[in-house]
Amino acid sequence: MFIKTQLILLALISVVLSQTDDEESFLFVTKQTVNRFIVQDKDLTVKYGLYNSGPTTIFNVNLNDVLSYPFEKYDILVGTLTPKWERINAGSNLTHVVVLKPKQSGISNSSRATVTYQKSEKNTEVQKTYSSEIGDVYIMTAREYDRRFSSHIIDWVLFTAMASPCIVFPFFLWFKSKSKYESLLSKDKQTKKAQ
Amino acid sequence: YSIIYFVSGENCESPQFTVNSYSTKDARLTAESAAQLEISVKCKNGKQPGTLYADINGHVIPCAQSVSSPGKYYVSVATSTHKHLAKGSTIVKLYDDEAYSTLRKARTDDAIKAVKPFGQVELSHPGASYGPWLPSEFFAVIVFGLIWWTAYRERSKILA
Repeated sequence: MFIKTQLILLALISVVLSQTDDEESFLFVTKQTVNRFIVQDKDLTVKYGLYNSGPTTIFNVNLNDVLSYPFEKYDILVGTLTPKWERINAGSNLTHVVVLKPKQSGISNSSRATVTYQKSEKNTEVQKTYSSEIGDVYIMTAREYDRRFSSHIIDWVLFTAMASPCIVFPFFLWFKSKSKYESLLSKDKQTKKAQ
Repeated sequence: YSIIYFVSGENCESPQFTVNSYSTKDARLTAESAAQLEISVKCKNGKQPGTLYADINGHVIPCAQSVSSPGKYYVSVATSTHKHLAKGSTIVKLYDDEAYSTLRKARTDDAIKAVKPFGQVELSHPGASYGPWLPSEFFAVIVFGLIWWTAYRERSKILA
């Protein structure tokens, strides 16, 4: 019984080891956003990280993320959604940054980016892999963001303009009566001195 | 004379770079910093350099090229915190295929420094701002506070 389990275990381990081919490399692609908030008409920065694990160089790497960000919903400000690299060396990390501007607000889902590459320069067999995804995101309207973060100076100027009648009008009344009172007081003093 | 030209006709002569630089400037909107340089290269003899490699902060990475718009090279940097992306100008050296292979073969630091780069561009990052130092509410409170205080003073004079 014990030997049977040992044999099964040994068989499993050998199968697993033979599957992992350490001659070939594998490309991991992560897709993240550096934004804390995604706001309509403000920059949305997406960062793609490509990592070549494994001992060999990979060639002709093409990343395509056009499907996640269709033209009607997003503007591309900086970068390209279809970058390509001739080669990525073994064990090296690459980053690619794309800055988009969402045109609509609400909940939006962006799918994964597709990456194709060749494992060797001569073998044109193309390997396809997918990046991680950001998932459902909530794009807030510019008003919501401004309510929390803008400098509000214009709001305060308007507030002062609206509050000023309440302040200026009584001040003016008081000032008028005060100056009248003071002029009367000075006239009294003058007549008293004269007497 | 013509033979020399034949040999060097493959390479890009006296390249001119037009650079579009972007970096995350709003630290309230973004949690990490990211920057990108979009470089367009113009050569005297009209050829495009094949692959370009960029030396940024000591890392030499291949530049991305765009499938949809050829002739543009992209160099991207992403850091984990806003402080890690250096403020001001960072010099990025560019190497083409030849220079890159020379760089890879160089073993000593001196030899690495002796490799002549294909070109040099700058990444300027004005820094990520967290918003104005003093919020506008602070000034509003001060102004209205002063108005209230003057009125209160006059009122106590009248009542006294």
